[in-house]
Amino acid sequence: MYGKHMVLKEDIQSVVVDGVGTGFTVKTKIPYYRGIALSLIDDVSIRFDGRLFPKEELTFTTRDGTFTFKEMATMTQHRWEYGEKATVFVPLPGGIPLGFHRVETTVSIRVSYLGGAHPFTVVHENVSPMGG
Amino acid sequence: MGIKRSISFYSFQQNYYTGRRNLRQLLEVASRTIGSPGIELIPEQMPVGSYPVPSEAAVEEWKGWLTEYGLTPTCMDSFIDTMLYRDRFLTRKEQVAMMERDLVLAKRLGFPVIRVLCPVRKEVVEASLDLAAKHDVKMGLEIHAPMTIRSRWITEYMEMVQKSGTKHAGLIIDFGIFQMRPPRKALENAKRAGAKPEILDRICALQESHRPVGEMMAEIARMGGGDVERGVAASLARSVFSEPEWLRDYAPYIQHCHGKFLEMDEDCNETAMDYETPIRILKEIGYDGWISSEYEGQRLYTGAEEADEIEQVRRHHVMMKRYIGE
Repeated sequence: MYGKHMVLKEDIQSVVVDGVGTGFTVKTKIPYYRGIALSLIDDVSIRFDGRLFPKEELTFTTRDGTFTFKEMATMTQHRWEYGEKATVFVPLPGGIPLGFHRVETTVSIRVSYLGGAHPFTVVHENVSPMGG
Repeated sequence: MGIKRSISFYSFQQNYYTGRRNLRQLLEVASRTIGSPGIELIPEQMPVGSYPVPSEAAVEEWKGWLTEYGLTPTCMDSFIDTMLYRDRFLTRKEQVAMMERDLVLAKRLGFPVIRVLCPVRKEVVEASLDLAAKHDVKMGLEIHAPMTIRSRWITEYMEMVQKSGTKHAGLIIDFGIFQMRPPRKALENAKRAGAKPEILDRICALQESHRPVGEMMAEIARMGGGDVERGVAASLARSVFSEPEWLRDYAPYIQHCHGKFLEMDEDCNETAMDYETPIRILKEIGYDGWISSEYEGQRLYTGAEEADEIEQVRRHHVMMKRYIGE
């Protein structure tokens, strides 16, 4: 279910500020059957055409605001709800370049009753700045 | 009196996740399409207003919906995230605070029982007994595979409960502990992926006689099976059978049941779990409570196929009526 519905291809889009691409965003739902406190997000990473963007380079936006992963490590009152699309910003100067690209989105949640982090990855091929 | 039908909204997780139906629409489905008298909720999955502290207005609206659709709240599922922080586990005191947070929410939303996850330690439940009494909400530790009714974890927990004399802690039975065979859909998937039918038959026979997965793997190797057959056996690794007769051990302490199921067929029979025997025994021991349909077959569908959660729950209720004698 998460493989199909967590990230939709149209949810990967360039961010343009004042006519200049500053990066791109990936809107993602949680790969888990309930919502959680933000501190329980163990890891998020985006791989764009083989280039890895670790969580330290990303920001995460929920209904409550935009946060770094360092901030989220202690955020126990703010939540990422089940089915809510959060927005991951990936700094890539120029935005998504012309052509077709491969985007891998990995989200890893700490599931206490399973004793640790559970990564889930979704891959999108043929992502283009023109959209679908 | 007697056994009553409920639906855990865990069953509708795909409908909600994809945005097809919201909480109110699912309440309507539960009531009008399926005719369930009861409902169970995971508020962290489908929040009433917001979790953990909804506004008074949200709670009033929720109560209005329950009245409108004639639904009784039966059980609320609680989690205790002991790994809330990356570098340490929560202390007992912190876990008890989380328990109280959910007891208070359950009270506000009208749920008489909260489901306590199986791995929660008995010390945490014990330290929460006064709080549960204060809020008058019961805590039911869930017996969920691979745990059995006679696992040491349950024995020790029940010693604590019986010794305390509390009326606010007991057990929730998950019907996954009565799994007899792989769900039909899993076998169909395996056949489509090239599994040999005679090996799948052998795996089913071994599971029906409650043989361990290691033995299945040895048989698969002996019969010349490969990854697909091994995958079916591996999927059963967490399925450990409890004898339905063991329900008699703790009869007065059973507060609620999860009617876990994986695939209902066209004739409204569950293809993986035994329902007939456990329901017969629940009747014999005078169980006066709910069974919530808990559909978990979504994961058996891949590619373009999607599970029909509502139809699956509808069939499950037809089956429950048959066994309950409704």
